[in-house]
Amino acid sequence: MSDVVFVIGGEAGQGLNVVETILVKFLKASGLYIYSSKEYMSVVRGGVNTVTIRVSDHKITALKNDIDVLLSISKAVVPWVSSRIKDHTLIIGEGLHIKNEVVKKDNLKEIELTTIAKDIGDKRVLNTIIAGVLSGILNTGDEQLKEVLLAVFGNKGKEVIDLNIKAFKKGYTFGYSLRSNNFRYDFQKSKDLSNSVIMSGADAISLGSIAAGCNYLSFYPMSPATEVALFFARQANNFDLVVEQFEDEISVINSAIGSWYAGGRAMVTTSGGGFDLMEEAISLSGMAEIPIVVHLAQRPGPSTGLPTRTMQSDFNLALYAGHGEFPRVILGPGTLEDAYYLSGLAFDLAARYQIPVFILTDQYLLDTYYVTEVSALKSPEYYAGVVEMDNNYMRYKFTENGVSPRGVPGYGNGIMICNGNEHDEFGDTTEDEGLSGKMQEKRNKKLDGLKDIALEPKLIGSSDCKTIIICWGSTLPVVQEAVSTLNRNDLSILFFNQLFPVSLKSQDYLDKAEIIIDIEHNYTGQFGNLLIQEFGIRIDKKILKYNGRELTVEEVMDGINNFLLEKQNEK
Amino acid sequence: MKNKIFQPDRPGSKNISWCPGCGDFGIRAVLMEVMEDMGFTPSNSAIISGIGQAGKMPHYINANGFHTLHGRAIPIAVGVKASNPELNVIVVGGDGDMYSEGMEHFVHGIRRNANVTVFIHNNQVYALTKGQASPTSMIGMKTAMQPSGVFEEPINPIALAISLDASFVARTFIGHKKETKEIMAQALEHKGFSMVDIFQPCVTFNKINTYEWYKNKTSFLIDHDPCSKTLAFERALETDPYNLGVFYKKDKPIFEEMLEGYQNTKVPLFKRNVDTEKVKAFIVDTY
Repeated sequence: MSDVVFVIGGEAGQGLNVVETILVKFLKASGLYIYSSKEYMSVVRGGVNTVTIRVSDHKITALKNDIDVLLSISKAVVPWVSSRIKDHTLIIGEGLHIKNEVVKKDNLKEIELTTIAKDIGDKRVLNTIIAGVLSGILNTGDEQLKEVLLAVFGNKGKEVIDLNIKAFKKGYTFGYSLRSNNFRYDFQKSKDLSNSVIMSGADAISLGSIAAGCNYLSFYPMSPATEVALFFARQANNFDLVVEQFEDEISVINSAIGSWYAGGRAMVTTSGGGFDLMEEAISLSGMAEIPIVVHLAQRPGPSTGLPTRTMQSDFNLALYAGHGEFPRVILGPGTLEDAYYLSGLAFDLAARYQIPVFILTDQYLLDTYYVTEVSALKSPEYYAGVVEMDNNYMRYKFTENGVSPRGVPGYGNGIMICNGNEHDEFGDTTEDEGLSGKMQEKRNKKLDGLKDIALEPKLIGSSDCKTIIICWGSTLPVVQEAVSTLNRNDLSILFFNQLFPVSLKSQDYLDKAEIIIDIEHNYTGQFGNLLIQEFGIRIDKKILKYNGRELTVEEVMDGINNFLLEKQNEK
Repeated sequence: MKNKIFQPDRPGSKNISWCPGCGDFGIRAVLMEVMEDMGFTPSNSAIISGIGQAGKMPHYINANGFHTLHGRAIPIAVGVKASNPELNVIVVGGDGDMYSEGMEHFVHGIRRNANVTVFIHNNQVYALTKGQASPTSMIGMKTAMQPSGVFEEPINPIALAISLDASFVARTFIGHKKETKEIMAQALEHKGFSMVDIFQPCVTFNKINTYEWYKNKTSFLIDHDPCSKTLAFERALETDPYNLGVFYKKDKPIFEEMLEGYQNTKVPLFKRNVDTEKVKAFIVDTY
């Protein structure tokens, strides 16, 4: 048994996030590797939300479809996740929450959660009982319990801690009693998880940015980008960050551009519709050559779409945002470690090339937690990218690579003029035909330098590249686990975490391919289409998912298998 | 010597593209004088402008400048001030810029109350786009775009700002240089979001609101108490004549001083060190 898939389901407002927090912290403290992700409705109360928690004795990073143990605290859960319930799935909960006339299952274990919670003296401990049940199934012991509960409820006093310890133990006893010869999960506990942490994608984006000198975050509320802003708000005093919620996304990005102009290192965090409103300012960043870092957290559109769900459908939006022609960089992290590093790299590239840089994530990545080693969280060496201005300073001085030294008002005796109109080297408006052309060239040739240093795609699996599976961003762990589980030695994953400009080295890999499969979370295969355009490749199969739910390991395995079988049958 | 340090000598600042007789010339001259009188330097000042004839101001002054987007000068200026509170941040724009395209920023700029000074060149017409009505154009004004005359109610920026409890609200007419200079100096001295609506004739496209018209239709407030919101509001509603002067003043918490980012240190963002190790230590302690 290499891992177990727990799913906990309930209504919004029932406190599933508390279960998730306790379990994730407790299981990790107990020496187990955990993965956790959630899917939730855009409601404040009611509906169905679920958390998927995978536990193993080795690092796991991907979403699986099939549920081993389902714990339900609402009647609506079983039908909602019915496609994930298999014959072996054990379903735990109160009778009225797990018995369903349509989804009939034998594997039901009833526990009167509400009554137990009431007996303990506080119905809010229900979540801790659930954490206990699942820990009991895993036979974790409760050595780490007090420490974890202190970390979660520490500010609520001893009485609350004691109640929760009692609740956990009640649940634990029940969970442990379910173990049998046919139903047991015994994972080797890792002694050395002390150098590892468990964090979410939103944590990784936030911390990676701060580690690279991000000190200004402007924001307007929008799922799923809000998590990053909340992190900044919580840590503003600790890290001396300027954080403000503005009146709309237009002012959000314009204030961030103002910050970079004045020497700040600003980021905005937003999602599709919010970013639509920012496009004019992206164009300003391109013209005025003022850096900006945009964390664009994707969710399904068009329009309001599915506010709390996931998709990779805004790649083209980032690629073509803003009128006029100017260079940009788009980064698409695949893992938490990648999210941490690329957030730092976004600041580095923005400061170096004075352009808009996008960190393209999605709801799934931001809401996913797993164990990662602290030493795997890396930042590029800090690059400030500002100069002291003298009296002859020219903001848009012509240089060989198109990058002019960037001043900061108040740094040195000189002054600088920035301009959204076409301008001369000083920054003053011009309509001179010679200068106008030269300035277009100056700005656009920065793309040449960016291409030279673009991150190469990562080749995983077979090095012969005969069958290449293309993926980008958050789908990497799922694709990786699917391919590894298929256990074939003829598949090569080509993973892109820099989506634009695409490394020219990609051609070397793509040229070798006889079959190319493109896996994306959108309807049209947006990134694959860019590769067709840039490298003249042919894509033989697109595995696309666009219903707002993350691809699972099983789906990717089926997709690849079915296609390869078809191919074989053709022969 | 007056009017010297802010006089630019960049090649692009020689040919000023305002029409001869435009009120913008007067505003520029007064602005440069006031900045010098107040001991500002080109290095510690930043003029953030929107789009329109007024938005060209940074090109004609020797100081840090940023000629931005239509309507967006205020949020950009707020970002500048919040990133370096040591800078004297001046926002320049026209009536279309501030009261139409950028109205939401004007309203929320007042609410946010960063210590920036906003000068609105109000000529009651769109000039750079050649003569369409603006949000302050008077009812009945005929333009190429409004051939039957404007019928929408004009914005009353003074009453609006007072109703929002703005920190400093004033209006002047550039035909009165001496008084304009005093009012602009007061606005720059005032700590908080200060707005000065400056009547300035568009000699090309506005044949109604001329120098003569403003002279006859405006008068300075006499014996007015700018601490009274009620009185300020009453004076703001009067249109015959339009009152000039400082309508309203109120000391309020300053945006950039309230920010968490400035509670432990006052250092501007660009002078701060990056502590990657602190982040790592935080990760180990927290997760």
